Amino acid sequence: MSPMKLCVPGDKLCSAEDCIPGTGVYLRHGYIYSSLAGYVLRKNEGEELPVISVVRETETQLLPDVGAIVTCKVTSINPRFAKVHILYVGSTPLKDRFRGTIRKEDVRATEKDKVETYKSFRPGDIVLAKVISLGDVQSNYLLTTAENELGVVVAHSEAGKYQMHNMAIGLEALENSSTVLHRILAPCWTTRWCYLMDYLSTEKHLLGLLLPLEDCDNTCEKHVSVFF
Amino acid sequence: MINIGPIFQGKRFRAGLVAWFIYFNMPTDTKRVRGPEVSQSPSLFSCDPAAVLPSKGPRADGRRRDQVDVRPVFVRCGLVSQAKGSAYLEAGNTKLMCCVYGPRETDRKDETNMKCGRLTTDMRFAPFSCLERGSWIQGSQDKDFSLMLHESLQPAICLHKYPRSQIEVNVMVLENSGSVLAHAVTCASLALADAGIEMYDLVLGCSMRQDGTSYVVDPSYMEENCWNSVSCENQGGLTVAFLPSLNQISGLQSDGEMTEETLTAGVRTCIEGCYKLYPVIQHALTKAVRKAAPSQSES
Repeated sequence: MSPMKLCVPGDKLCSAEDCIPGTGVYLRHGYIYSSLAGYVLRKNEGEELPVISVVRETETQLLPDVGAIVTCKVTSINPRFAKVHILYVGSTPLKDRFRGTIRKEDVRATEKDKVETYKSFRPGDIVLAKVISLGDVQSNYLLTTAENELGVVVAHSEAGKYQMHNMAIGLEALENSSTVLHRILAPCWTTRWCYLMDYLSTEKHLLGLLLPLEDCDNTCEKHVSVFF
Repeated sequence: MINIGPIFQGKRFRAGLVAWFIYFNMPTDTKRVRGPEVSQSPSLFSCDPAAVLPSKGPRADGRRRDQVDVRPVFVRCGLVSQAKGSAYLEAGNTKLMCCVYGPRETDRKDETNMKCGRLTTDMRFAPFSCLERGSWIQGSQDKDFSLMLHESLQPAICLHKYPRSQIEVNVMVLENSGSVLAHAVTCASLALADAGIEMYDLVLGCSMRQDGTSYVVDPSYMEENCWNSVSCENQGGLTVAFLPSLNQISGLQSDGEMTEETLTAGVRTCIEGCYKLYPVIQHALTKAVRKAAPSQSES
């Protein structure tokens, strides 16, 4: 391919009739101007006109936007909400930490009033969450984990470190059969399940995989089978 | 004369004398070691620079009057690795550097703006930058310059793309040899572009000084501060911050007394000076981008 063109902010790239504006550009008076210092990229994406955008190879600073999946770390818990630090937006690490809040009613989709935050989260847990709102002036970003793919993904137990994938997806990560589970933290489970898992873990011999069979939306339990 | 020396050598008296001095003087920097009380600053004995510079004839550094002769500029981006973006600029003897941090969460909650980001600018003079040693504590001139820098940069940045965030621009002047504000504006916009912050256009700054009927562009420190003792009609300075691609002026600062025609002609001169700077700045930015990511044959 021919060497890509470099541009600086304010460079006139082309007319709006030739291309569709992508990222890193802006439209003014029928012309497309660059808003970043980087390489000009023209892509044909199947529409009539190619999409023109300016990219910098260094990771662009993303801001958590509404609907984005973010990875965050729990810093403090409260009976009403949990405060987190947002570390990654999608798969891009953030240079500066933004703060977020997971309210008690956003922890899971079912039985919202019976959620106990100290049973769902612990400080230091890594959580996958989704941004529902930018919040207002006084509050932080509002996040939710009330979906199947969201929730705690890494937690530390008192017996030692372990890692697990989120329960709802499947637990291929639990390969090591001598893993000790202190407490199941997946917030989309009912309280009864939490208790059951606690009971199991005190045995300290949970050898097996947990696979959720079905997902019941309305009320209570998820049917899971435990293989020992 | 009575020899009073031996009488006042008691430690208590000396301590009292020092305390009296400190009490009655303006609060100064007490952390640094100062000379003994009898010492005097060497600047009292240095001869004053010529109070009046000739308003005709060539300029001290060989540039021409009444022509848009800006000093050659050396620019580099990406010098400070801790900052998101940075730039260093040298124009003649004026040296300054700028660091950009952000977008990050706003420090104070009550100043968070939901719709667009906040720009914070800070301009500081190093104590060794001017002819007379300055203090680390910010004076009113620093705050003034910071405000003007903020005013010049804000229209150029796409702040609506960074809601709830804050972008910090810090300029440090290492040597002040004239037209500091203009070069600070240029350096700051370079650092912002280096940091990958979306902007509508680069902001370039240029300043000029009107002395009677002639003017000088990009004045040095001497030319800026030495007023002609013969009070002419037009005496003043002008700094313009200009967006070259959009052809808009984002900041204008002027002092002195000038007629309307002189001012408009001066603005036009400064814009011409900005256009002269533009290719150098573009080249420096493209060089920095190429250095950061040399991939040329990516599709």
